[in-house]
Amino acid sequence: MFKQWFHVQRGQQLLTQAAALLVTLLFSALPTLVAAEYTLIANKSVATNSLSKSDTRSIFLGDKTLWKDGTVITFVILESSPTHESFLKDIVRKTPSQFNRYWKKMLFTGKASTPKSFDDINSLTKYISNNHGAVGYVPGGITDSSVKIIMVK
Amino acid sequence: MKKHLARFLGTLVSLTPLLMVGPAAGSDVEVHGFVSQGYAKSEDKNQYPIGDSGGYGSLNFNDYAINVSKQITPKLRAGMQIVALDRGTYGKNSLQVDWAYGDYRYQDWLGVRVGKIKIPLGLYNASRDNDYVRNSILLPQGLYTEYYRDLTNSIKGAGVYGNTPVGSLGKISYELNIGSIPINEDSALGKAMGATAMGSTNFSTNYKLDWETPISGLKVAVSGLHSTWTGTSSWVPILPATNWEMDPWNRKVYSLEYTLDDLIVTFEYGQEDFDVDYGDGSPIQKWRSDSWYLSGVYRVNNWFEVGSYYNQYYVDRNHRDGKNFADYFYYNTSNMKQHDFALTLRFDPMEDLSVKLEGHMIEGNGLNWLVDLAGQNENWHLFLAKATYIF
Repeated sequence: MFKQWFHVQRGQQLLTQAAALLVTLLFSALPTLVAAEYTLIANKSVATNSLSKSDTRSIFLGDKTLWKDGTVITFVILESSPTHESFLKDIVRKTPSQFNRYWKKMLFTGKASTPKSFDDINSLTKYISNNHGAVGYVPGGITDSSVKIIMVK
Repeated sequence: MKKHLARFLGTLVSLTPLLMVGPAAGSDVEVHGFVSQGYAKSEDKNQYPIGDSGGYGSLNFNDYAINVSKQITPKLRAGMQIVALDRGTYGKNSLQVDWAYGDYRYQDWLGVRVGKIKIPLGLYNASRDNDYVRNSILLPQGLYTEYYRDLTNSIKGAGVYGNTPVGSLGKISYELNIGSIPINEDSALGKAMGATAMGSTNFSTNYKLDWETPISGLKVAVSGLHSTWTGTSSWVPILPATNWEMDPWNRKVYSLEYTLDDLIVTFEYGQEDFDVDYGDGSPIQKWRSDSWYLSGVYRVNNWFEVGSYYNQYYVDRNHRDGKNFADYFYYNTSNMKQHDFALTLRFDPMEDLSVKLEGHMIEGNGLNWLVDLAGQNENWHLFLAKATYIF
């Protein structure tokens, strides 16, 4: 009887320890995972090396249209991708449908054009590398020497 | 009506080659538009917002638009939009220039627009014609009255706009427009006034100030429209026409919007003040109405969204019981208010197509002034359906 009770207690203890380890691992891994979900890239002519989240958000909402040196900002989006979704959620604080409607409102009141959008990473990267002032995002971990990486603080 | 519609569809067809060139493909000229067809079923005595929506309901409930724009230089753009809408007794698909302006953005904090500019008033007025960009079919009527559309749509003149971060306090955006607002006797307002001539408003000012607060997802705004205008009406056809004057005519709206992931909660409160001189020696009539609403919209998944609002409107905010209805030449207290509970189901079967179903339970008829107020029911219902394709 005592032996059985001991085994149950020991089993529960092991389960608790395993759960605690899993939670610790998840939380320690989370910032890395989130940080790795997207990378902000820009044309090499862009003098800025880092942007605040707030400035990045303003760029993708059309409120910030000029870099510090006066170059016009052209932002592009990687549509219909998990990267698009996580970037919007983390930086722009909108869901894809809210973002879509925001720009449709701008378009149909004459305030802006629709953002340039790409379905694949290569076309997006090529566009950014060929256009002064262009900025966009790609999945985290992807590097391309034709563009520069901008840190989002 | 058919002639106007045929012309509009002809324009759409002739622009089809341009539509094939998407903006991402490097085209300088962008062409976009929407086609929206609705159905409205109200009650025989309370037909709203379509004049023939009693009985089996009405299909005279559509909006079409097409716009062309071009980024001329990195800081200068120009464009225009033509719309045609039908609401049964008014609209009738006649073509009108919705907006047409040049826009020079000197810096983020200062841009200049010249032409016919959409009026920002509350969170939704500027985009009110485009059903696709919101949840509900009918916006809360106390603040976005269908019959006022022409009077609050766009202003001919000039404006400045811009935005600036304010450190840890968030971001401020502003818009200020001046000019005159074109309205005509064929509008819903003109018909309600029995107008034979209306023209444009006199010098008008319009402003909107948005504050994106440091609280994530919380936006606060204040906006206003101030004007005066005149018209000529034949109240009784056999009598000579009289000239009347609205001086002043002021609207103010306070807005609050909170977004938490897929949930958007909105609260707005607005006031409308105007004095009417009927020009027949009768005392100047002072109108002091107000309205508020609370709405919630939740995006359930990629193709389904549900939304609801409750809206109250009072003709006289100083006498909410409406017992002074006779001062307004009304018939009873139900003419002095309108309370509306609405529920909307929105389906997005494709990215550019929305289909909506909407029900309203309404108490009072203070905003239903295109139908004789004397015979209207105090409690009534309205069902709407609408499909919109956007390109």
